[in-house]
Amino acid sequence: MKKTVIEALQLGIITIIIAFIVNTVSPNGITLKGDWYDNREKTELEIPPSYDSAMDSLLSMQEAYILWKSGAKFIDARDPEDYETGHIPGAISLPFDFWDGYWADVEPLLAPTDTIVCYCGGFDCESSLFAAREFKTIGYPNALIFFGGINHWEQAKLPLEYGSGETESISDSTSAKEPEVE
Amino acid sequence: MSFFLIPKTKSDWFIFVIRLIIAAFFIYASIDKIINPEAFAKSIHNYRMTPPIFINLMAIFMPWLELVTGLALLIGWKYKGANLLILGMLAIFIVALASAWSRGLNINCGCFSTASTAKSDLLARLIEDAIMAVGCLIIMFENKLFRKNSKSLA
Repeated sequence: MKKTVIEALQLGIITIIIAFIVNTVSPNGITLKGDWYDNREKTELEIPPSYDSAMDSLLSMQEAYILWKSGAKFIDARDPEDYETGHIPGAISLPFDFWDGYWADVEPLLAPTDTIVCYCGGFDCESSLFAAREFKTIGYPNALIFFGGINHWEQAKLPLEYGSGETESISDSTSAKEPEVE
Repeated sequence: MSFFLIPKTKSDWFIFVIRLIIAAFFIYASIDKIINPEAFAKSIHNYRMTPPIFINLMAIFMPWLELVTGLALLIGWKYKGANLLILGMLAIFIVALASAWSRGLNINCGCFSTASTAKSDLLARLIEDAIMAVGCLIIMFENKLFRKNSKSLA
């Protein structure tokens, strides 16, 4: 068995040398690192790591859905590219990382008494939590967090809206079925 | 070094044929990927299992490993080591295919061709790899299975 392992190592070394030499000289050669985004399936967190029960109000999928039906203001705290590739219908784009650049456009759309539901991508994304805290700090006390975010929304097969928010939803939001998630 | 040993006994022939079949699969599978490493990298990415930093490294290294081990298995040079590496690769392929199949991914497996149109049946490839893995285990334990002197072959 020892001889077999040594042979395997020798073959492995020979292969590494050939593979990287050929890749360097070949017109079809590729870079060692590449430009790939991470599309591995992530493990979903139940509660945001920074969650503090004294200041943060988490919504379940069902609660978020009811608020959406009743016309609460939904804030998409993800990056603009993510917003354009699909967001909760009617949601306003306010990327938490670019808050200052967007706030002037968003402020006229909100009243301090509005119920505001912040969401982001789900999994381990905390932009929704930070956005809700920011809202409370600047005088919007009814800021809530839908931590399941777009991930839970899609899993519940609820409609999505695409583009900058001006395009119409592919599904009629008024005829959306009740979510399957509790 | 004992290249191209002519099998003498029935068991030698049996092992030789298994080596030939597995070698043929691996050599054939490597060619298109060696020619199109970028397309193979895309196939690896489609499995949604690999950290981005390893995708191109795997796309460069794996097809050559398939070719080198396939050739080694074919000609009988360091073929026990090649067989061990092939078994390792098959284990990785089986895990990747089973995972993709269980997640319902509709992807080209990147097994034999990197063309995006080459949709293949993941389950069929999975069974194929499992059968080859059994072949590798037979080669690995040929001395015990056939109770022969290890010096009698390669």
